[in-house]
Amino acid sequence: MLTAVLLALACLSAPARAAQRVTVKAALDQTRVPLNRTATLTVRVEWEGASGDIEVDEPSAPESATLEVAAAGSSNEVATRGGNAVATRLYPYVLKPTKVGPAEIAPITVTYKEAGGDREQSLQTPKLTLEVVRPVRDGLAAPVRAGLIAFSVVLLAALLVAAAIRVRSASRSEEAAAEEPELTPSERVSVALEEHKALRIAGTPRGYCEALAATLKSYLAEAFAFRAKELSTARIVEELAARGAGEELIGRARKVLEQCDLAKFAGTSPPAETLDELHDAMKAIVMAAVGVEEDQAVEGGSVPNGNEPGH
Amino acid sequence: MGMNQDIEALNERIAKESAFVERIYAEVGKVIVGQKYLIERLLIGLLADGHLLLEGVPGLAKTLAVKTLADVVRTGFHRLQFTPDLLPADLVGTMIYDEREKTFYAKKGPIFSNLILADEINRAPAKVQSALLEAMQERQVTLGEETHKLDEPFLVMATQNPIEQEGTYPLPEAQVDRFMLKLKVGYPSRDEELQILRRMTKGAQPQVEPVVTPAEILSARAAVRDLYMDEKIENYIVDLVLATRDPKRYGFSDLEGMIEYGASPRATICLTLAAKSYAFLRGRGYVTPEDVRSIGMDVLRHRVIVTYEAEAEEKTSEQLVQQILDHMEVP
Repeated sequence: MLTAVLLALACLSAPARAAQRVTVKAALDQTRVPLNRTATLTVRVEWEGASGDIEVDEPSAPESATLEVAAAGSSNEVATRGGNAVATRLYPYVLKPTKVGPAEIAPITVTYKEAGGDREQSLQTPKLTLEVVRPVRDGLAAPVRAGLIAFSVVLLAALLVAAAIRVRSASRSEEAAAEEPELTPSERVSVALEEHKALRIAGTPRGYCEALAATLKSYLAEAFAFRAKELSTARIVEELAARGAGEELIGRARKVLEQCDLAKFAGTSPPAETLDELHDAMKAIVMAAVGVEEDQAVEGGSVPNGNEPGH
Repeated sequence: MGMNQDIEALNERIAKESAFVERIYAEVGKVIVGQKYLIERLLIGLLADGHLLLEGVPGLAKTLAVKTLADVVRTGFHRLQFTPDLLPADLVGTMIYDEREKTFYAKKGPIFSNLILADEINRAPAKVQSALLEAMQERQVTLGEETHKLDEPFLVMATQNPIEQEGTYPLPEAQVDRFMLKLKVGYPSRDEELQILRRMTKGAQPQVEPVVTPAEILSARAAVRDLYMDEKIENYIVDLVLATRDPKRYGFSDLEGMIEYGASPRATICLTLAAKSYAFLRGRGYVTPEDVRSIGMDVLRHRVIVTYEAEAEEKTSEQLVQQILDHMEVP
């Protein structure tokens, strides 16, 4: 009789024990992130026991007004702690900030139940804040760049040795495969323009204009070395003129930015013909820059100013 | 498509409502050489229903600018010279005893006008300053037991002389906050100075004609409030104001410890209305970041109080505000 009572009590208390042993944590891999970088948020669900003891529903994506989820995934880990098995389910989210300032991530609810059971329980992560700071200049960090230079020197020496032992052609193919070519600013714009096409297909002309303006500002910031993202259209045009940009480039940039401003700030949806014109203007800016970049690659020149032949 | 039609209709309405702006510029230009910055801000004050505090040395045509504006808008104008012996009653008025009727009647003071130039406001004691600022805020004056509403439009432009601070009564920060804009007026350019010489020293003084009525100004005020402001611009304004309160959170770590008090929520309201008025003056039915940036300094410079550390480093509130305006990402 006593045994039956004890068994019943054990059965009743089982869900409560499960609730106590499951823990949910959320952590960011960094507290500050530049606007043009990403941060990773990891939601960690942990319990004592085997991996299959608890069934965890995939949590909903993190919600934030100024962060976008660029990628998400999940993985399992099993470890032994103090002689007991500990299972962990990880949900990493790559977050892309859209705005400078503090970004708040709303609490994430994780719902789970014991394997075979039907009583769902849930736990919440605390609210997190990520500090989004001004974007850092694109390109490799100095130590990485220095490391690559050193690597290149060593590689070159190796190539010379290889040539001496008549395996130069094989070494060259290995080198080409090892080093990914770095995109030029204009190539990056071309890639971005292709990506933005999806917004047009999705029927969001305002979104397309926003993306277009952001791409142009990034390009101008890089090509002319000024803080285009922190300037309004009128001031960008002033800066371009002050930096000796050609009239055609300034005209095209002004056209794109002003038209995008209209969509962004007046709430208008430009017609397809206007979007085509903007796309063409952007292409023209890029095409004009391509020749200059090629010249620079040969001569080691500076920024394109739009005054070269063809502008 | 509906949105496109809405904004087109709004643009048309604003273009129509703001048609008088060019007429004002043309008429004022007959008398005032240059000073576009000052005239434009005066109009912003009129349109946004805010008051102006102006800092500049004597002789920059401040009085002439306000007087001329009053003439072209066909409104009343009063200039009040603030002195240490001025009393509140000299400003707002007082109750006078009528011997024949055996009753008191209200004798309204010079504040009962439309455009008021409060010259050298920091030369009068605090009780007079308070009387003016209260009237500015409440838009009414109580004399005896009777409350009198001030006429609309009502705009006060107070001046402070940046030199000769001996024996003055600086305005407390809380009272400075009541001015929508604080302007800093500089000397004219060489060409402008030459034009001033020619225009003011030969023949008869030019006269201006009224080109707009107070009713048109009041109608324009309603149009200003109806201007379209996108959420991105609203967020930009809020970010600018919040960055003055907590610069580190917005990536301005170097400003940490430099700001004692940031801009108040009143600054947010003023910046919004001033940016809308700025867009209106350009005949636009919507606000751009450039509108906010252009007027940002005038709205924020007197609302950011620097710390002792900042003063020790000779940092002014203007420098700090400029840094925020220059480095805050534009939407």
